[in-house]
Amino acid sequence: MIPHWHTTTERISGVAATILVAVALWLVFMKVPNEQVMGAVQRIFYFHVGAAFGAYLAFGVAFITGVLFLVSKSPFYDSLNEAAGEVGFLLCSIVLLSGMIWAHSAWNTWFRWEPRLVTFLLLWLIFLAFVLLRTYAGKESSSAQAAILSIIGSSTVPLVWLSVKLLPQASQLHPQVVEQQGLRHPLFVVAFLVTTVALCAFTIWLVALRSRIGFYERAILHQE
Amino acid sequence: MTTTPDTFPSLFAGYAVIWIFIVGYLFLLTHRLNKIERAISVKMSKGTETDDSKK
Repeated sequence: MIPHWHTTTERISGVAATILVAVALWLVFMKVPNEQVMGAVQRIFYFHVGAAFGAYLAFGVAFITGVLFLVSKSPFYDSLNEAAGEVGFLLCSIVLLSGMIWAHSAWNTWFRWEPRLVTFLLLWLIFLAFVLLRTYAGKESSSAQAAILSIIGSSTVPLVWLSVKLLPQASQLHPQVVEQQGLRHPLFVVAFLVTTVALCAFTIWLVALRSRIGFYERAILHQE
Repeated sequence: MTTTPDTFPSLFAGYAVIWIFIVGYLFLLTHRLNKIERAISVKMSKGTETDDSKK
């Protein structure tokens, strides 16, 4: 039985995400002025960073539900853990690929072995393993292992966040735009905030939608 | 004076990747959800038929 609050969250986040993503797209493509040094490609920034925040949110949910599943063995937390890990992996892939395209234009290289990029790749690889485990190792037999893997994977998020501080800014290419108040134009800030909130709402909606499939699958499995 | 480079092709490629992933995943999710909901409704209707025949 799906809890009532889950259905309500799915509906509210679905409506909020649709409206906010539309507003974000309007802001990013119609309102925000061109950045002077990089030109049009800088507009990738808003969805690139927003997707990263969405991924961190999903991994946070995966961490909490992973712990709750190991404690309670409830199929409800198992479904949520599966959904959050999968959605986080999707957003992580978006961040990596959009970042590589942006990097190729701005830095003239697709990838560079520096702290932020390497730790993010590590995070992506851990959740790739999580998705493969969930897909091919059977629904119920792999739940505990997947929960542990999601806890380990989510624990690397603070490392990704702090990784840019491991080396001096001069020796790495990845910028620290938000930390160093690099968004000078007020519209840059507005577009950034709206896009981040929109993609967080979108993440919640996707997790709710995906976990509903998990609930149904487990219900059928228990009936058989 | 600095001239802003034409980086529109990269912007297009970046957002194409973002939307292909998002729309593709949403399509996959709704397809799976419809399939599983149809399977559940078939199962439930079969269960009702069996209950009725018992009566």
